[in-house]
Amino acid sequence: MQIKRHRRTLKDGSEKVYTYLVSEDGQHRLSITDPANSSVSLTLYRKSEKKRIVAALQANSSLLVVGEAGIGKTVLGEAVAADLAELGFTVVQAKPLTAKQTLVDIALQLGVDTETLEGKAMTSAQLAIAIAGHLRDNVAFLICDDAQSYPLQFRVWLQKLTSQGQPMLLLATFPPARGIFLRLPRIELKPLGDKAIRQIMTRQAESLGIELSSGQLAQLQQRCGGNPMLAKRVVMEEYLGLDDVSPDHTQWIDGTPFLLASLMVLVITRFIGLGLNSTTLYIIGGILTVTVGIVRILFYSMPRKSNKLGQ
Amino acid sequence: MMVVTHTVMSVAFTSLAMGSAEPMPLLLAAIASQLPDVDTSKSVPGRLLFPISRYLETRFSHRSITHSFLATGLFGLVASPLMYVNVHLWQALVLGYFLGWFGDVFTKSGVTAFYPSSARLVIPGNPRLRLSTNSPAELFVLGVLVLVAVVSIAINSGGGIIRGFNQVLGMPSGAVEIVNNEGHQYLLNARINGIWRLTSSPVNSEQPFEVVKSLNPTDILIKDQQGNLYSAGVSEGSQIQASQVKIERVKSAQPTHQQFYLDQQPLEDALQGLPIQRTYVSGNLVMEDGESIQLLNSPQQFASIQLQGESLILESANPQQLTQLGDPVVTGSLIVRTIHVQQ
Repeated sequence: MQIKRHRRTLKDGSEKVYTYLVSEDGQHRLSITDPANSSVSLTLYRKSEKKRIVAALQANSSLLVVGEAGIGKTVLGEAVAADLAELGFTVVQAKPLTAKQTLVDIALQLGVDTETLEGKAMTSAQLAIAIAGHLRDNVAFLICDDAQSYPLQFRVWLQKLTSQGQPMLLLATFPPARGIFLRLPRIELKPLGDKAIRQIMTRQAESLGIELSSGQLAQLQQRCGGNPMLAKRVVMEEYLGLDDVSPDHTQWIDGTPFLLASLMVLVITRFIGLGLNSTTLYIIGGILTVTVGIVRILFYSMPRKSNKLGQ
Repeated sequence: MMVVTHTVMSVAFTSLAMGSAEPMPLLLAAIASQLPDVDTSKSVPGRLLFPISRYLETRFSHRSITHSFLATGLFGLVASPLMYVNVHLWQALVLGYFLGWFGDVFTKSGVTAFYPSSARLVIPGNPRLRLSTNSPAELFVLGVLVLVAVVSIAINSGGGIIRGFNQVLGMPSGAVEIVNNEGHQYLLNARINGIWRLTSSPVNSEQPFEVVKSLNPTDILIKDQQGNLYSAGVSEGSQIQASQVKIERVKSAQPTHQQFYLDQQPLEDALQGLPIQRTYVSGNLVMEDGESIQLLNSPQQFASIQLQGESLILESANPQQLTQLGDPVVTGSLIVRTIHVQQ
């Protein structure tokens, strides 16, 4: 295990040093300064993506990471920030507030003055220019989590930054295919494998203080769909004794069209009856045709899956 | 889904798909339908094959690897030696395994049918319309499946869906199909709804006629209690215009055939020693010069013996009727069909 230090600049200008142990393969970190509350203690299952992102950012290229909610974008962003800080770079982590608030937040993290020479608070436009100017002259990485929630103004400003060569990492949940989201090269995070999900669930169970047999875990794992957030949530639902509600993951294949298509194949009986001159087969085929038609009407009149929970 | 739902579903659809009500294939299908649930140690197969289920549930989520086309293919491969013993048993095994997990596609969590893809196959897409195990909806589905299984087994043990349809609808063409399929194994009776063509009076549908043979795709030759022959069906020349003909089996029977060649011999030569009951003589004979015969054919009955110039055309004629011809000298060939009924 190696010991690493991570230096972080807070909003009020002070610096804090985090010391932590890193496992050989780089996957596990345990904070020594504050093991219970440290946000830096995490287990990363997406090591190769992290390495790729860090390398890309260092090569002055920006990236967009997309994925469904809870797939692990924020955790990945934190790991990238930690890696870059460890390498000695300045990392700014932005949050989606109003455009003005976000700009003020970024300015504070960079150490850019938020007041004009006369002592008045800067407007958004002035802040934008000041930050852009600072970033032109200094190396810093910008990581924007929940990028789909930023106001349009802010996204336009980010676009301007990319044209001046500022490397940034955007993490977004299903952003629209417009503007900066379309311009940046994209990584789509896939669902995690069975083993990773099982580990996440086991760790969540341990932290909640409950014992789950592998049978129970296998049962719960059906509802996860490879999503780490859902993995933790289903263990929590089990802990709270909640009923099994409709699964929320997105890894589905709807088999209804295939079922109806294979039923329609039975209609061939009618033509066989016609060919063999067997009136009985023809009648049976006709009845099958009508039955399949009825089944189709019934299936397609059923309500579609709703996007809203509980509906 | 519950164990009983899996079993009933696999029996019902295996019976439907294979068109069979034989107990052995259905039993194998029922057993095979339990096997996909070996991926959890709480199920019956999981408890029986505990090491396997323990191995699977520590690594995979429930209803994933064993509930897939891949697993079905592997199972078929493993069971393939059975193909050389009896193909139907192997088919029933594979079908049973497939139906054992396919039922779970209709539940809330679905199955990873296309393993190694982790996407779960579900029908229908709306999760609220899918079944939760042990719910009232599943009990209702179980009831429906039991009905399907019972109907399927009943139809298939009654000779199959086509025969069942023919029985119920009683179409003359269907009756001909039944006679053609079963006439060489059974003595058949026919109940007829229709009218006598000459008198336009209705045929007594309560009284069964004995079936002699089928004449063409729409007509059959039948015999009443007195031994008179009639043709019944939809074509113009039949004595009975039948709207419905329902065939029933009476006893096991076996027809035998004999062929005779007569060369300027008296007809009696062929008729000697033939059994009296249920013997039907058919063929074409040419009478020698100078022979003449008077035929009295009743228009109400089927003309078994017809005269065309010097030719005698026989169709399912009774030996007694032939003796009444007076023993002419003839040349030609005859086929004698006798139906031996097992007592």
